[in-house]
Amino acid sequence: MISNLILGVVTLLSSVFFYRQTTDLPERSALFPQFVLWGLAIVGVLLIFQALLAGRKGVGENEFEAHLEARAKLKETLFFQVIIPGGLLLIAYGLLLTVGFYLASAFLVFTVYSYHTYRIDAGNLNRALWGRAAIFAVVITLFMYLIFTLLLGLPAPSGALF
Amino acid sequence: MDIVSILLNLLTPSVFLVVFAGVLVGIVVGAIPGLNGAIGISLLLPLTFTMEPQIGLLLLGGIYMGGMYGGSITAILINVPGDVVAAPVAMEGYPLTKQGRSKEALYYSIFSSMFGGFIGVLILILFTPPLARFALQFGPAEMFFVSLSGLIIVGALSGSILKAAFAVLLGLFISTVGVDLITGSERFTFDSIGLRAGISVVPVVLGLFCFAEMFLNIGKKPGEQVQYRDQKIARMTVIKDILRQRFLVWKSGLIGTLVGLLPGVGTTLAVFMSYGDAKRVSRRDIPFEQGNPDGIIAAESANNATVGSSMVPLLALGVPGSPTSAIIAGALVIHGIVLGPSLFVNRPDVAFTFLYGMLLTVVAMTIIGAVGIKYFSYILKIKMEYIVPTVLVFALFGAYSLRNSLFDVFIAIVLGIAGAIFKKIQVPLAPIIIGLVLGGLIETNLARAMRIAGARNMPLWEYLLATPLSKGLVALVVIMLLVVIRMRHKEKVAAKEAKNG
Amino acid sequence: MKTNLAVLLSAPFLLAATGAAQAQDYPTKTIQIVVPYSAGGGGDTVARIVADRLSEELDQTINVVNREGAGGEIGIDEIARSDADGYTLGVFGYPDNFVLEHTRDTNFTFDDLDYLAAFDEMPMGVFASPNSSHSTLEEVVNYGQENPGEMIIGESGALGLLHALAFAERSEMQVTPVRYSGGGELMNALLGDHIDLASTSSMSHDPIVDSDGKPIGFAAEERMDMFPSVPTFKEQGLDLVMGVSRVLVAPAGLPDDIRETIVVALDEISTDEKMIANFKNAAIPYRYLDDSAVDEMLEASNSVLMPVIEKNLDQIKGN
Repeated sequence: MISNLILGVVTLLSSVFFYRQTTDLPERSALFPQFVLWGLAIVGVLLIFQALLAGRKGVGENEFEAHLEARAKLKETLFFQVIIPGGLLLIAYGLLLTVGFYLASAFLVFTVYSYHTYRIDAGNLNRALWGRAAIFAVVITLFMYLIFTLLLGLPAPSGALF
Repeated sequence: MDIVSILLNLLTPSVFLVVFAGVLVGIVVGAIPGLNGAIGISLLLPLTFTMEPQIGLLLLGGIYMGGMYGGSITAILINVPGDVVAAPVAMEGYPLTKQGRSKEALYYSIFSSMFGGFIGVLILILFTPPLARFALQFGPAEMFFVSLSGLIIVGALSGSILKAAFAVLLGLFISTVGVDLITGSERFTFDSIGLRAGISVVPVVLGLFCFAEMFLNIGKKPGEQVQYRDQKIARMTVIKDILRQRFLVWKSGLIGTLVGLLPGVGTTLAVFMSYGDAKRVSRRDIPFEQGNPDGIIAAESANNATVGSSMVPLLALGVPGSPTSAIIAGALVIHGIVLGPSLFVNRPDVAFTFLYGMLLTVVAMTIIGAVGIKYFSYILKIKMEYIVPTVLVFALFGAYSLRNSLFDVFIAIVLGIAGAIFKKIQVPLAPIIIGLVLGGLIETNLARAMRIAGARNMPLWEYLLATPLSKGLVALVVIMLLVVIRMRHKEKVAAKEAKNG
Repeated sequence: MKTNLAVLLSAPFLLAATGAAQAQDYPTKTIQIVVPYSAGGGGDTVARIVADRLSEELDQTINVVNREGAGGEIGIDEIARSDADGYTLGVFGYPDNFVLEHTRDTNFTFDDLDYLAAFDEMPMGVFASPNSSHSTLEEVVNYGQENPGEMIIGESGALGLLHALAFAERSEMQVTPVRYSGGGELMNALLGDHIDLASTSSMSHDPIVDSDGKPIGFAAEERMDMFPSVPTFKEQGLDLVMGVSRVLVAPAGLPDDIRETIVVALDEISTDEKMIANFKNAAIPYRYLDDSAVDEMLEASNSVLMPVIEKNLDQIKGN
């Protein structure tokens, strides 16, 4: 499993990186994080071993193809289900910092709704959809404004501009 | 004022109204990802200033009770636990929803909450003084061992043990970020003011359980994930089934009550402990994490039981046992009510009205839940493309609301991305939360133990094992370890047999 | 919460409006009071009591916002960094900011804040655990001097440790401070006899004494009206006066007219009997200082604290 190998390597490297940060700390502060980071490093090494061992065992012809397919699928999920929505959320966060919560939330609803519909069927992407997405974004944002700001009086994050 | 007249005082319309309103608010804030009972209570706190103290208290108590239950509705229906305590419920309830049995899962949840709530409140009424004394015996050594036992539960969850170890260590690591409580030095903050405050549990839960789940739902066609089915199931069938599981509901309620006494960890630990225990004793042929109702029964009865018991130290000693009861303490202080042993002497009207009134909150929760379930399940009729963006923006708001911190929003997003990847490569998420919750406790209590042992000129282990209670807890840790190893072994054998046969 | 239809309808326009509101109209929108602690504690209670009355006086909604973290540093930092437009104020327990500033690498300094008023005066104190064999200062000091380092004193918060260290230093004994994350946790440890002494504010008096804990003394100039039976350290020959005072602050650089509006409003509500009764109910000793009196008090207090901090800096940072 390549994913285990990557997880192991990343874990090992980051624990080394963070361990180096602890050396300047007073002893009492460094003790526990160092202990945890040792643990993480060991788990990282074990994950690498496990992955290599599984790799060495070799895989049958049929399994190999299934393997490749699974890997392709994982890559696809990573791109469409993690990187794109994660990116959208980060953009929304940027908007949150500049124009405040409600505009950011309208943006997020609009883009995620459109993206979702696009993922179901790329052919759905037409003018009617944009309209629906816009209405939905406005409705949700107004609804949240009503509940959180007007009814409950919770402070909403305000941006640098408003 | 005698008990009878206090009880008669309870049976007034205004009390009923306040209790119902409180529970309803609690359920709603509990169901919204990121908001929880504590936020609901701080919102309505100013309202109570003008009320009679016992009425105001019952309003807050109702929110607390309702909030504990509310989280499980979204956990079961869309796999988004509104709060940490609902995470195990999502693990069992959502698979049931996928099988079209959402109503059944919701009934299990509400009635288990009811039993748990009653157990907690009854114990609060009957045993507050002795339990408060018991809770006081938990010093650094005892808290250290209790937290350790919490870590062991991770082994009882299913999946690769190596990945579970990774997850729990990651949680422990996250808990060390920020200004160190003990020395005030900064750890892993990289000069960021946001990281100085540390990473709190709520944004992590939102990221891992809410954002990650929603990411992976994007692009799902209607009906692909879950199907709404108007399942016919009688409430009595579920109640009878809950009671038929030997002592499960009673035992889980008791675990919730006892562990809930402990300051800081109480609720989270109690829920996972009884969940792990249910997995050990369950007699059903359904594997855990695939929709075993016993998991719901255990987790739900435990979390509602903690409502009563986290009030024990508050009422008896004036020491709040959970963030939520800390706010309730603040409300009492404003009314000039001194908490502690003298409360029952000086203000029996307040103390007893509140105690018995808490029973009413359980009743209100059960009624609202049992009647509302039909309507809650309509969520499933809504298409995914509407649910995903809505949940995302609510969670965005929830992440901010806990500490009014934009940085928490950022943390939630980052962990959402990490959580989605973890889900795809089969890293379990619950252990991360367990590690994060327990990390601070393990570290600070060990540090205190070392410090006190140093001052008393005794070796650390001698201090750690000084009291009978801590010796008993060590035994508990060892027993739990053995049980977990045996469970793992059994699972392995069963898996092998399944493969061969 | 003042909400009405007009606000609701005009909301989108308010959202779009820029910050160019005319000063003489102040306040035209919701004011935030940032409290750098979690809900339910003493500082939070003071903020809520004051906000309640101040919002009536200014005829504007005031939200109390809890921004806890890093012992108050996060919230104080936010107050100091926010726009000095009168719409972000803060309430916290002085000298938390002063102690943090001089023991940690904070972004704010004392002068980044404009101190508008102080509302209470709550001395620190030392309490002994229920099973302790010491119930007077003399007994504590005798034991502490004979057994250096063995006396365990629990503390929480920026001031808790400083007070514990000053207490030990002035009474010429060595103690072992043990840190707790909050007043509640500290009380738990004391009442369970896991520590010998606790260094905490007078607000903890009632619950501790109620469960048989023993008050050793308060670091006050004179005995408190609320607890006349508890002696001060001073009358027992120990020169130690240290306490918390909840102050209402704004970021430095408020426009003069806005500052005037707030200060006048604060002076106005300072004699409000209902508000004072709320303080009394909450066992918070009310003492109002207006904007000039508070500056005097802080200056005097800073000069007392500074040498204590300097002397104990190593212990605070490294212990």
